[in-house]
Amino acid sequence: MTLVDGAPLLEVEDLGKTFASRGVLPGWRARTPVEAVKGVSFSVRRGETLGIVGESGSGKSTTICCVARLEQPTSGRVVFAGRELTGMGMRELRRARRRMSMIFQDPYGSLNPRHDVERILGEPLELRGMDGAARRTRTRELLELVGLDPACVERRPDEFSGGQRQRIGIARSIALEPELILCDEPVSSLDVSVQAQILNLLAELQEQLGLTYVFVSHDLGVVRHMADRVIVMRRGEIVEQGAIDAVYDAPSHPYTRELLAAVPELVPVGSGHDG
Amino acid sequence: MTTTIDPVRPVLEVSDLHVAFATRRGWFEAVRGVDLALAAGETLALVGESGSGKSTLGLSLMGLLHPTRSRTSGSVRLEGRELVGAAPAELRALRGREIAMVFQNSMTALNPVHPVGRQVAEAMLLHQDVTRRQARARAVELLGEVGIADPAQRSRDYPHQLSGGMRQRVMIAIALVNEPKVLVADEPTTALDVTTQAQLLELIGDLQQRLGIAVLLVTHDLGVAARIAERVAVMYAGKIVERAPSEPLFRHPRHPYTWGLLGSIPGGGATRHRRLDAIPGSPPASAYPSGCPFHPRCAHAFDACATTVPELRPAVDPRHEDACLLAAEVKDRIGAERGMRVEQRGGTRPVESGAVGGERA
Repeated sequence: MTLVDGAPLLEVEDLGKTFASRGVLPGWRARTPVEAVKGVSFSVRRGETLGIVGESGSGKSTTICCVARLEQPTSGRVVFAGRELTGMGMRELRRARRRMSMIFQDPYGSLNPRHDVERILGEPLELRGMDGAARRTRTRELLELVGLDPACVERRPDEFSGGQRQRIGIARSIALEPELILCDEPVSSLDVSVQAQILNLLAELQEQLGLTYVFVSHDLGVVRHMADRVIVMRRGEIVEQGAIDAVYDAPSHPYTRELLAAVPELVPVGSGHDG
Repeated sequence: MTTTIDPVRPVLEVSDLHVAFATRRGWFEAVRGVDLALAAGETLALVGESGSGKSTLGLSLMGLLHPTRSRTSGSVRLEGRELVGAAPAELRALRGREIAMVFQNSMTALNPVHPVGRQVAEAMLLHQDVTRRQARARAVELLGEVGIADPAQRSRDYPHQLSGGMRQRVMIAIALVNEPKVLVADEPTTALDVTTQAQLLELIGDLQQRLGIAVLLVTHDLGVAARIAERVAVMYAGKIVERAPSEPLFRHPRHPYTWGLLGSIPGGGATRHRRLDAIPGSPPASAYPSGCPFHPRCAHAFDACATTVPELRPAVDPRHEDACLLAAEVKDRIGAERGMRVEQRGGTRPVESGAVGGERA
């Protein structure tokens, strides 16, 4: 179990995001705006993992993109470490965002294929103002933290397997010692055996570095394994939220029940779980 | 699911199948000596990680591999007819007629410029002596049978107008229009949301029971395999490493790779917040280790594993085979600790209705 103290690190209030698509060509009819996220509120305490589950199109990824302000929320407030991110100017936002980072789903698309590992990991450190020697030390330190050989700094992403790439992505996300990491389907594109390694790594890092996670996934099993609390989203709205066991063992919303019923669970023989 | 399996005359019989691909560094063998038999009405799940050769095996059964960039040897017999080395015209006559396939990615497998009804009808016109009008009518009927609401209307839609689940239903309709003996389903539900996935698995099961088709389900998802297959074969590095009826395979797994796969599954109530028993390293990608292909990642490997290639052999139960050099007692003992059972909560929701209207495209 992770250590959780009471102070919320992240507070999201009545978040909304509407994508208004313009017509492709002048004179073409614009499509009806899509309300991807509607009235979403939650808070995350320091050291805990909040899971967000939902099917495709439920707004779970848009929600965390709005939290990081990679998307501009249409309405609502995002307060991170006591400061309101919504409404901040770009310069101020960049400073505030140093204390949070993201891990993306696609370990192929999220690393620049033309940069070697040294540069991929060195870039955030350089932006922070670290000099060359310190950067090199830190880069190797980071690689060791995520279980990669520090000698691989000269290699490029295409020389690594999917799991190793995801480790590089994780190393980059912890480079600036963030407090909060937003994980967007971090293991969805990995094979089961490799997925388990990455989940173990994320759990170890959380314990070692006292990280707080918001963990988005369509995989109910993965979220159950990782999260302390969970939000279930559907069509842009939260249908249910609560402590992980409460939601999984006694779901109160019919949609949550339907989701859980759709996935047969493989459970160890002889475990007392659910009889 | 109970079906009568006639072990004497399997519909599909594969023996010592090898498939190699041409690479810049010579031939790379993706399937290395696979034997399997599939009886009418039976579902066999082929489970493995990427690179295990499971999809290649599926494609080779269909004769869909590149004629010069790949090399297939061994034997694939469909109701006694040899497919390996068969003339292209002969394969074309069988493919879609006697053996059909459902692919993972319906967006690329369907033709984007033809309405879906026409694509179903085309498959029928190719193989059966029917008129265009009859084929069209049958296509609409079949689209209804695979759970598409308002099939007459939907049959005029193009693939992009349908949701992923709907497109997958169309692919199933195309595969089943000629009532084949064998259906190869390669990750048919992987790209879909869980609730849609559940409905499709149910549909495949229903149709199979009704038509008595033998299904080879290729999947990386042990949960999916546990749910619909009568038998499961676990593949690793181009070989079957364990095979058994579904229940004993999950309850008393005998191969260390299967133990690793089961230990890697997150979310079982009892394993929450505990370290997962992940398998170290990753599957071989370009060259296979000597001896047992799994030995470099195996926690139980001993000296002989690096030199001796283990063969797939039955245990006490003749239907439960594994390819591992460990002593039977060790496999019994650890297997008993690692066993899993399937736990299902309630049923699934009724068939989804319509196309993109209600759902997100």
